[in-house]
Parts: sequence; structure tokens; C-alpha cells
Amino acid sequence: MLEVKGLTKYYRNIPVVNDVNFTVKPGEVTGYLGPNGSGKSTTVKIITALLEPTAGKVFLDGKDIRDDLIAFKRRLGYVPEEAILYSYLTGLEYLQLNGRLRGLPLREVDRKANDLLELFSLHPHRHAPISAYSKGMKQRVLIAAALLHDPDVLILDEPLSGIDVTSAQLFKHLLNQLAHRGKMILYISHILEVVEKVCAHVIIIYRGRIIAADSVERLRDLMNQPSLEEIFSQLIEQRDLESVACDIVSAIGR
Amino acid sequence: MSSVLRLESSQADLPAGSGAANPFGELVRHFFSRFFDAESLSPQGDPAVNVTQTLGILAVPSAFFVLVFRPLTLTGWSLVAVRYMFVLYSMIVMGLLMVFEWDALFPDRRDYQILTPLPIRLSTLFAAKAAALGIFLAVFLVDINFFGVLFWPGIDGGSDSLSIIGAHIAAVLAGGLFAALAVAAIHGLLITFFSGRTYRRVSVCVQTLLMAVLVMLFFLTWLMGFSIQGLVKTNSPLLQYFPGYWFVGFYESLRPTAHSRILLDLGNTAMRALGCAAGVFVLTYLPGYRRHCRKSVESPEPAARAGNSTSLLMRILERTLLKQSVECAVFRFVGQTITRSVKHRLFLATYGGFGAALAVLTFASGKSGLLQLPLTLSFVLVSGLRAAFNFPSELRANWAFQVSEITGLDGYLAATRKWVVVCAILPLFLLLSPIEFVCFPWKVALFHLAFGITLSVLLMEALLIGFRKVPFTCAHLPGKVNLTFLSTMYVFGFTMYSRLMAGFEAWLGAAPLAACLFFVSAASAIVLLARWRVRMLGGESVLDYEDPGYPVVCTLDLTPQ
Repeated sequence: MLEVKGLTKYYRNIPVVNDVNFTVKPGEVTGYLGPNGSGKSTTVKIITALLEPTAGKVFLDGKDIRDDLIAFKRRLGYVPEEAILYSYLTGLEYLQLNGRLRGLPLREVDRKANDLLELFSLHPHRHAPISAYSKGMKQRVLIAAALLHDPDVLILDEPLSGIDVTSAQLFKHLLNQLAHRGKMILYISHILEVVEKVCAHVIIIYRGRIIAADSVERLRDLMNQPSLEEIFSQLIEQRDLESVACDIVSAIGR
Repeated sequence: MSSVLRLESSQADLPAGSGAANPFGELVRHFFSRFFDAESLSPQGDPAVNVTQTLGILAVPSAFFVLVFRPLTLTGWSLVAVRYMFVLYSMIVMGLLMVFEWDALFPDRRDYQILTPLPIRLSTLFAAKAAALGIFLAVFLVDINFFGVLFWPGIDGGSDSLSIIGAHIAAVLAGGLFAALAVAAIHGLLITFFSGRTYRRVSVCVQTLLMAVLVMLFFLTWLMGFSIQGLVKTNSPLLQYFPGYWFVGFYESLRPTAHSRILLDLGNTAMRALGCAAGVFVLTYLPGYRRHCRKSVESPEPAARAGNSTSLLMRILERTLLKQSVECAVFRFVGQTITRSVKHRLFLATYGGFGAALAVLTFASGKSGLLQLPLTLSFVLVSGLRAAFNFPSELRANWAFQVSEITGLDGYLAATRKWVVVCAILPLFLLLSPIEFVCFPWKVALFHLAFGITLSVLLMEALLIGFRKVPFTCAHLPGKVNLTFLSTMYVFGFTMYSRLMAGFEAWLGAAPLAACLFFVSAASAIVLLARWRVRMLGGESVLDYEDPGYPVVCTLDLTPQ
């Protein structure tokens, strides 16, 4: 089980993440939602050890991940928010680099990389540099790289960004399969319909604090709202979007 | 990007009539700023500061030359030699600038994708690009020649200051303009005659070669300057082939001092060459621009598949030398970055040009030069690679290394060292071996090669002490470089290292027992260093991804702790 306890991060004395607590259970996809700038990506960067927290700890199976970061990273698969890749490497080379850095045997790396490229419909482009890939193709490379070493913990930050409908459907099935195999999956997204379909548990963060954490069904019952989108809208302070849209139209027509 | 947004808003304002922003001016500003893209700098780097620093640094050499030669009042061939230095400096810097800006001469895919949807004609884009290029060249031409022109009358022994300054300005500007136009014309020819993938491959090779050649010429300037008299006396064909001499001839035609018919003829060649470069540039630039705009979007990126021989070599290395997967990953990553990153290739080409200049000088110094040559070249190569490793490539992508760091540090560091030995030191000595075997008996040649390789490996170990990074993945703060250490190392390396070591090599060659002792000691040192590294680093993951920046508050350390 992945546990986040009292996680806090200050940037220039401003708390971006403030006393965040949640757990991600094996075999479950946990959704992590929040508006832009609410602290989602900062939380994720702390969990993946790309950032150090100001306070708080992350535990994997009861052990502080910072006590043995290398052991934690062996079990971690990560898809970052932005598709930042070495653009001069080819898709195949990028997967090989990741597999080798993770210490997989060389033959296994080659086999798995080719298999995953084939399954993600990238095999015909495997020798093209990533700079020539579309956004969706880059995203698929990132997902393949995160899965290459069969990790126990998956942190997926907006994994469907730029991905076409077919690939998105494939990905939803993939998440279910991975959850059935006992993986701990933290799924960060703005696309609430997808979160509603794939996540058993949902955490909503707003202005650095957790404001709701429960199963989607219980949240529906508690909030008396038919969908996650309605729940989200009720929890988060929203401007009158229709009037803002009107203001935009009048601003451009001025 | 912000200037493009301004451009969009100014386009929207156009119908309003009075007070509408000028899209052409915005475009010129946008293209001009693109010449100063600072993607090679750390995120903390300030482009404006860096441009100012660059302008300052480039203005220094002409000021230095003036200070050196001002106490002397020169006439005749001495004046010709000094004129040559100023003219060639102007030419080389302008040539180098155009090589640096190689990709910015024509619109790239980003320009095309951002600017094409805007309601702007291609001819406007072209005119704005040409205007930005003209301003860019003018700024640097003035900058690099400013002090030279200002203080030149004291150096030239003539009395008519205005005529002296006028001739100097005309010569350095013509030389600089020729070099810039010639490089741009070469690029124009490439873009006209090659397409898609072939263009990209040829273009990169030509750009790298030009960089190396120009740097080499820069370091040979004084030697070439003071050899003009001899070349003219023997009417050497070299005078006809090297543009630097043509523009000294042009200078001579404006203000005769050596009264040489041959120099005056070279002046005519200079004018023809300038016209020719300008003509080719004009003829190729517009069609090339139009064609490149379309091709930059339509043509696919070239495949980056390794050749069969490279794949075979990698397989052999993976079975023999690169035992850990991590070693294999870093080894390949270093090779892929060096061969595909233009920035790193140009940086190494600069070192290559410097090495070539040193090689010419050492080779010309007789028999002892033959002993020094491999040592000089290996010093340039190893120190160049060490410096290149510090420059990041696509820094933000280094999260892949940070997230997947699952073994101790030793594999990462060993891979870097193995890459330097296998892909740099050994190929260099392999290239030099025919010269060794032609010039020396085979046993002596073998000894030289073994000594050179051993010394290069020791040098690499010395230079990589404290290097706790995967090459190209760590942010680089140029201001944090220890300049005292670096200057000492480079001054020693490029002046005394090869001479001292060549002397040591000659002594070892005459004392076989001492030679054996040297090789045994060197091998022991390398093994001990490797063990010390493993022990010092332990199993901890301590790779550096950020150079320590400046503290927010700097104390004077006056209070005892």
C-alpha cells in the first residue's frame, strides 16, 4: 500500500501542498483530481522523489520511501504531466534507455520494447526520432516506458493527454487489467468521465488541501449529485462560467 | 513567442487605422531575437546578459591587438601582416556567427507552424528575416571592429588619419561581409541542391566542418599573417586559394604600403569573390527560403537507426565491456547525444579546430613534433569531451534518469569512462597509427601508441575526478566554473603538457625498465582509482542533476564558526 502522510510543500513561504494524506491500495485505481494549480503535480513529484517535501512522508508497504529510494524506484512506473522526452532518440531507443537504466537484462529490454511498441501501434515509427512524433504518440511512448519493468506502483499524471479515442479506450482496459494484477495506481486527470469509469476511489485536492476522499459511489450519495462532474463543481469554487464565456465574447468583439 | 502574440494582436488592430502596430517591425524583432535563442544555457541563464557578454568578449581581441601594436608605428610588410590579423579576425568571427546561426538563417518548423496561420505574406516574412539578418550582421561587424578602427591610425605609419581609418573600415567590413555571405551562400546552395533527409545530413556535416576550419584558422592567424611576405615572394598558389589573403590585397589596393603587384591583383580577386558570394546568396536565398518553408513541414525527420557495423560493435561491447544494463544505457546515451545534438557537435568541432591548429604547429616543429602530436591531440580530445559532458542536452528530459536510478553510482560513472576510452581515445590513436608506423620503426611506434593511450586514460581519470553526473543531464551554470583551475589546466595542457610528456616518453624509450615501471604504475593507479571511486561512493545514489546555484545570501565568512 502507498501511503501519503502529512505531505506539505512550501514554495517561497506559500503552501502549495498542505498536510495531504491519502492511501493508494493494491488492486485499486485511485483518482487524484483538482483544478489547475491545486497541487496535484507537486504531490506527484514528491511521491516520485523528483521534489523533496517540506514536511510529511510517503510510505510504501509501511516503509518510508526516502529510507531506500532505489528500492522504491525499482517498483515505480511514472508518466509525467508533460511529454518531455529526449527528442533526438527514437521511440525504440527511448524504451531501451529506460529498460537498461532499470537494470533489465538486455535481451528482455529489446523484446519488451518491441512488443510494447507493437501493442501501442508505434512499431512502424520505432526508428523515427521522437521529435517527429505527434503528442499522442509521445504519450504512448511514455506509457510504454512506465510499464516496461512491470512496476508495482503506477503514477499516471494526465496519461490520456493528446491520445486518440481508440488508444484511450485501450488505456481504460489496460488500467483495469493492471488493477486486477494488484498494482497500486494513482491516476491524475482532468477528464472526469474517465476518472468516474476507471477509479474505485477518488481524492479531490483544492488549494493544496484534500477536500474529499472516498469512493465515487459514496461521494455521489453523500453529495446527492448524479455525476463526478457535478460533485467536482460543487466542491470547487467555480465562477459563473456562462457569464465568463459571455465576457470573453464581448472582449474579443470590442 | 511573446513577439508572435504581439504580432497577432497587431494584425487584429490593423483595420482600426491610426496607431496600428507595425507587423513588419514585430517580425523583424521576432526573427532578430531568434538569433539569440539561449536553449543551450541553464534555465537561470539571462539571454540579455549573455548577448552583452558575447558582444564584450568579441570586441576584446581587436582591442588587444591594438594595444599590442600601437606602440609600434608600422609600415611595409609588417603593416601588411598586422592588417591581415584585423581583416582575418573580422572574417573569422563573422563566419563563425553564421555557422552558429546556421539553422536560424531559414525558418524552422516552429517558425512555420506559428507564423503561417497568421495573415502575413511569405514575401513579408522573407523581407523581415533578411532585415533581421542584416541588422544582426551589422551589430556584430561594428562590435568586433570598433576598437580596431578607433585606434588604428596610431599603428599605420601614414599621416592622413581619415584615409587610414576609411581604408581600414572598408577592408575589415568587406572581409567580414564576404565571410558571412560566403557561409550563407554555402547554406543556400545546400538547401537548393539537396532535399529532405539528404539536406539535413549534408548540412550538419558542412556546418561542423566549417566550425572546425574557422576555429583552426583563428589560431593560425599570426602564423599566416607573418608568412605573407614569403608567400608573395615565391608567388605561392596558397595566396590564390585563401580568402584572407585576397582581402589583405584589397586593403593594399586602398592604401598601398608593400607596393606588391601580386597583392594588388589579390585585391581584385577579393572584390570578385565578394560579388560572387553576394550573388550566390541572393540567387539561392529566396528560392531556398520558399522551398524550405514547405519542406520543413512536409519532409519527415530522418530515421536514426544505427548502421549494421555500429550495431555489431555495440553487441560485442555489451557482451564484453558493458556488463551492467545501466552501463550499456549510459554508454549508448552518450554516443547518441554526441552524434545527434548539434550544440554538442559544434562545441566539439571548436575543440577539433583548436586541436588541428595545435597539430599544424607541433607537426611543423620537426622530429620532436611527431612525439608531441598524439599527446596534444589526445589532450584536446579528452578535455573537450570533459567540457562537453557538462553542457546539458534537453535538460528537462533528465527526469527519466532521476526516476529510474535504481543502482549505485559506479555503473553510470564507469560507462562514461568506457565511452571516452572506446569511442574517443582508441579511435584517435588508431587514426594516428599509420603516421607512427611510417615515421618510426614498428617497435618504437607501438611503444609510442601504448604510451599515448596510457597517458590519455590517466588524463581522463584526472579530469573526471569529482564528476558525479550522467553526461548531458545536469544543469550547467557557466558562472560556477572554477576559472583559476581551468585556466591553469588549459595553459599547462596546451603549452607544456605535450612537450614535457614527449620528453618523458623519449626518456622512457631509452630505459626499458623504467618504461615497464611506468606502465605497471599507471595500471595500478587506474585500478586503485576505480576501487577508491566505488568505496567513496558506496551504494548511495548521489548523481548530480543540478549544479549548486548561488546562495540567496552570501556571507563574507568573517565570523568564526
